[in-house]
Amino acid sequence: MAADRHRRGVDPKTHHGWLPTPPEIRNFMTPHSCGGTSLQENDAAVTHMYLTNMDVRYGVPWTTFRSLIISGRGAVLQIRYSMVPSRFDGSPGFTGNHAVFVNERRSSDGAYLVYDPLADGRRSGIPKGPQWWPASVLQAAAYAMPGTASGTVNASFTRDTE
Amino acid sequence: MAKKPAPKPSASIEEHKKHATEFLAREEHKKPKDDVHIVSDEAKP
Repeated sequence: MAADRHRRGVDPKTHHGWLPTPPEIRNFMTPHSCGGTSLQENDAAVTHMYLTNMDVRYGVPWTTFRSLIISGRGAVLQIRYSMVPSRFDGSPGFTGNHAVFVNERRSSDGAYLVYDPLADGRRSGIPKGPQWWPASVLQAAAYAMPGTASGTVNASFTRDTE
Repeated sequence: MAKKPAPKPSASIEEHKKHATEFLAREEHKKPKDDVHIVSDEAKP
């Protein structure tokens, strides 16, 4: 999602498939399947594969994160999955570190449109596709990510596409 | 010098863009420590 947004949907015409898919990106990284990856590793992979150049930032104040989204950027945001309420939970029982793509903020109620790769509807009770998360939910999950400074989040931002 | 706070949600898009651009430029030099910033643990099914 982030690479697609960053490139405004334009195929870079590299030898990798377009649109980007998580399995192909993960297959480009080492190890190919198990273990966590970092924002920096993901950014390096999609930069090579799709000629993107996202802005990875750690310790971003929440209000600044909000400004970046409002001003026209998407973001891969690190979260702690234990803070995700059941209605958005794409992997019941999972409580570890994760990342979601935040596409936009809705001005009417401040909710964020979140693309969770775990929300694939693979069985009953698991959401499918993007969901509008209340700001309080997204903020709490991002604040709870281990390694974040107090009151800040870690994220990788697309370019301004608006 | 204290950093200028982010604009409120109701501020104009131009104000948000200005703040966002300044923040990204100011923080450009910060290098992350990959070993403590894990994106995703094992999840699914």
